[in-house]
Amino acid sequence: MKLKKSSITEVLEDECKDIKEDAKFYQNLIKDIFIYISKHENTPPDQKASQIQKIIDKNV
Amino acid sequence: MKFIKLKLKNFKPYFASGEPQEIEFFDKNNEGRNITLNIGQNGFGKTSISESILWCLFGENKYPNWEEFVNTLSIDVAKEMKKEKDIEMTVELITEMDGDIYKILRIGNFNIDEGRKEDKLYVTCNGEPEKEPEKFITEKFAVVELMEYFIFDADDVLKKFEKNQEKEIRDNINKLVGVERLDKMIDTLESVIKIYEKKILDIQSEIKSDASEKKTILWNDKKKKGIAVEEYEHRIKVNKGKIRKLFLKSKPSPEENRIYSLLKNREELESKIDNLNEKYTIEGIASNLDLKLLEPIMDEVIRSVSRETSSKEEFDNSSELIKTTLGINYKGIMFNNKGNNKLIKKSANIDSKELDDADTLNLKEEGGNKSDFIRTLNKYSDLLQTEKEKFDRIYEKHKELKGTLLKIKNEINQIGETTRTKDIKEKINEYKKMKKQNEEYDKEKVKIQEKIKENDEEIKELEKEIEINEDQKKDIEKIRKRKKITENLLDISRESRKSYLDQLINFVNKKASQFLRNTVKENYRFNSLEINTDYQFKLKQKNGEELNQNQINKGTLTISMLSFFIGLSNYIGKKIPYVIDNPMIRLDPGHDKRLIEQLADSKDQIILHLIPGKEYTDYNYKWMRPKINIQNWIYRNEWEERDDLISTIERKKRSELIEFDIDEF
Repeated sequence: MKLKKSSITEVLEDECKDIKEDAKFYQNLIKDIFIYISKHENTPPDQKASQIQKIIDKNV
Repeated sequence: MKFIKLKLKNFKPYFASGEPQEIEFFDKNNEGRNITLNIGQNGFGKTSISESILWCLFGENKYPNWEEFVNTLSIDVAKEMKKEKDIEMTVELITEMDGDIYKILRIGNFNIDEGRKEDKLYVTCNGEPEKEPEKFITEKFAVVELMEYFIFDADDVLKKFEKNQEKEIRDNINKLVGVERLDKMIDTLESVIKIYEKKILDIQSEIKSDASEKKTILWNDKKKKGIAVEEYEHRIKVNKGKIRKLFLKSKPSPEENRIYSLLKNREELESKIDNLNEKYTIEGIASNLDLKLLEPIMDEVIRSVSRETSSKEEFDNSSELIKTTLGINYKGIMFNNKGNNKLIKKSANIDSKELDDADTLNLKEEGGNKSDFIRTLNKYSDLLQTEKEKFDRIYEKHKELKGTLLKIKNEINQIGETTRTKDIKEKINEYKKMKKQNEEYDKEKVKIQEKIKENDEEIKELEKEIEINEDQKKDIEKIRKRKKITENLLDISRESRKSYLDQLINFVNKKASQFLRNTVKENYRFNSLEINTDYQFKLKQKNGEELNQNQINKGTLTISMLSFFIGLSNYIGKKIPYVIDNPMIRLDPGHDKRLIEQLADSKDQIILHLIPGKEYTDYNYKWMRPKINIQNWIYRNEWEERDDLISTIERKKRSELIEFDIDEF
């Protein structure tokens, strides 16, 4: 039985494809955000939100 | 990964006065057989083996009160020995991963007098110490909460599942499969959207939206006023034309000639005076001088002050001179040591102390070259004097012209009073009337022009405000764009969570159902398992209908739960050995055999803790035998005078059925 099994980042990248014109932009941005979230599990939520906001501001 | 051996010293019932007790889990000679059995009655120390592995890996993180695990006999022995107050409790787990041998050792020290405790983890790989042992554990195993899906008591976990899928289980699984990180990302993105919304609201509340509207009103008002000024100018011009024509005849009398010539002179004079007024009104010349002189004075003074040192007295004198020079519009200059020298308007609300402080800031030590400084100021003071003299001359001229004008006015009046010609008298009256009218028109015109000037100033201020508003509007647009992108990211994250979970559930459902079918066989009343995104499972009958809750007994639930665990661990892909307490206690006959056979076929190492007589029977032994790698028997040594236990473990031959006295149970 061969079952499909993808990592979360693969799924995230795949979902970005729906936004055709900006797929690459969203793929890079969401990957950066996901990496930050994964690395900062214990950071307080408000600090996390402000850091993510900075990542978005830098890209937009 | 394989657990090879466990060494226990003073952990719960595993008392050791010298060398630790050893439990073997894997024998290389029996490769291909992946089931290890630890056989012992309830309360003999089977669960303590599971606990010791978890303490060895996670220490205080798993068991904050681990000192309660210290063997009670070892405490009594230490008390007897008097000097020995520190008891050592150790657990060493020897594992094999990809051909390397890892020794994971946790040493706990407990001081029985002070209740003080400390523990430390050591890891070696083929004898070489690992620099970051804690990191090694997280990478090779799973986080502490998740290890209970590999090392668990089937009966205990069953109770949790019976309580309608506790949130704890759902959270742990989400953490295990990474969904928790997606949830955190979703929460964080929602917070970011709120931050952007707040930013937009903050800026919007700052914007004075009526500035543009006010400006339009003022512009329209200015236009109307401008037309009014033009109208007055037109009327004045018409009157002037009429005045000129009053005394212009083909054959004028000498009186009329004289009046005409006086009027002509008067017109010229008035024009000259107007020009002078326009260029040098009294206020105008003063403020013009201020502005003209201000800039070079400031530059030079600042240069001097920063170049030379000067005393407080010098500085005060200079400031005084500057104030005089600047005339009526300014209080003075405020210096500070950051180079932000400001011209203080008279209307400015400045604390005198602030001025003093600002002055003091720039004062350096006494003894500077004051002559240079004063010379600079004097130079500009002289220039001011020259400008004032020029103004005086213009003012004198203005006065002289006004005097001549008065004489002309008087002469015309005199002619009007002394003339005997009625026509001339009437014309002079007419002329005076129009002149007066023009003066009124002019006065009104000036009033309106002043208002236009005020309007212009106000418009300038509004334009500044509008300019700021425009920037703010641009900021809002930018934030809106960022918010929109964050909303898209949020949609992507939510969709990804759904897709990922669907994919995971689909995978786990297939694996779990396959495991379940193999355990219960096709012809059983249920044959598939369906798990939803909250990890609640439903059992499906052959006809596709769901099994009722009252049709699910503990045995059914245990198989479902284990099937689910197997499916899940297949998805995670971590090859961590299973250590399962009481796996078969609730199972229906026949299911236990197929369950263990399947576990054995999975090639993962399976360490089972079985109760003799219940799970470990003559019948079970027969079908399990080909799969058994090692079997251990847990003995209990009971002291007559005390209730606590000392357990020992003995490895038995794989091929022999461990004898036990059934009467004991």
